Amino acid sequence: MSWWSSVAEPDGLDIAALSRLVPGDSFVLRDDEPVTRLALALYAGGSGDHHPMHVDSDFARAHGMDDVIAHGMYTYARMLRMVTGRWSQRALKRCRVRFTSPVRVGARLTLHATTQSVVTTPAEHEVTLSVTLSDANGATKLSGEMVLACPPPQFETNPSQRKHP
Amino acid sequence: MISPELIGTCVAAGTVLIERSRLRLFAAAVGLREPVYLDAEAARAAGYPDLLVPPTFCFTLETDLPGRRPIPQVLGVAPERVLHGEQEIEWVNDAFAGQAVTVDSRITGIESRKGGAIELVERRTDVIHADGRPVAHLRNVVVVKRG
Repeated sequence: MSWWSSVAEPDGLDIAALSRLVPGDSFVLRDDEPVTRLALALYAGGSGDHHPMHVDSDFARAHGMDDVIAHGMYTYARMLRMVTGRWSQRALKRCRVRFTSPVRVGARLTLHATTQSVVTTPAEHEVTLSVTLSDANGATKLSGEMVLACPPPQFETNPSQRKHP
Repeated sequence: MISPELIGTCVAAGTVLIERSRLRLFAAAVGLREPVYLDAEAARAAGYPDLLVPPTFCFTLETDLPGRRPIPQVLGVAPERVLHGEQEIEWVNDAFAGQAVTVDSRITGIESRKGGAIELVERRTDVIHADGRPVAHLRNVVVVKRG
């Protein structure tokens, strides 16, 4: 399995496609693997966040949960990975999210993005997206805004979008 | 009621060396499979000096700082009253394994909502290269439920 299979839908969302997005355009990126206990245990070690709510089922049950839940930052990292896996982290400028509900073991995450605005300068093309991350039941896990940047659209191929200073 | 005098309190500050092994563990955990995050040779072949730091790794840097205090402890509230509310990152310059970056994290806002049923505590963290260039600016909001 190649790394980009996580974001293989829809086809053709390459860096040029990023520069062609206009307000109102939407796309969906699907994570290719569910949240697992193993991943949460590795994340506890990799991040230094050892809170037992994320790795110890006994602790979670003793505190009113059915089972462990994902670290908020783990979920955030999985979401950004879907985007940087598609366009590389060079495209990332800003991302701001609000956590809405806990992410459970076994969750399969989908990112829904809608283009809010685009700004083109001679140096770069900046795309502001509203984003939500949901599980397979459609429950929203986090929502917010992401700003991506890419080289400006080529004048030769897309003269109608050229912005005159 | 959380004291507004806590605004300005430093939660963590210091210099952290970014280690290859930690980056590989982090990448495996969050499912990053691009070789630039896992294989130093591949990273160099891609024009980078060493393994590339994924932006979300910056949120973990402060946990390694000695003297760093967890937010509930700083606020003087029980951990079960604290929920993660919001998180923001502004990514400015790439960082790489082997680099030492400085981290400075402070409480920047405390706000009461819903008639005092919850309080929102904002924290901002700057991650800066040794030469003064920013790596990232982070913002975190926790929700503290009334005890």
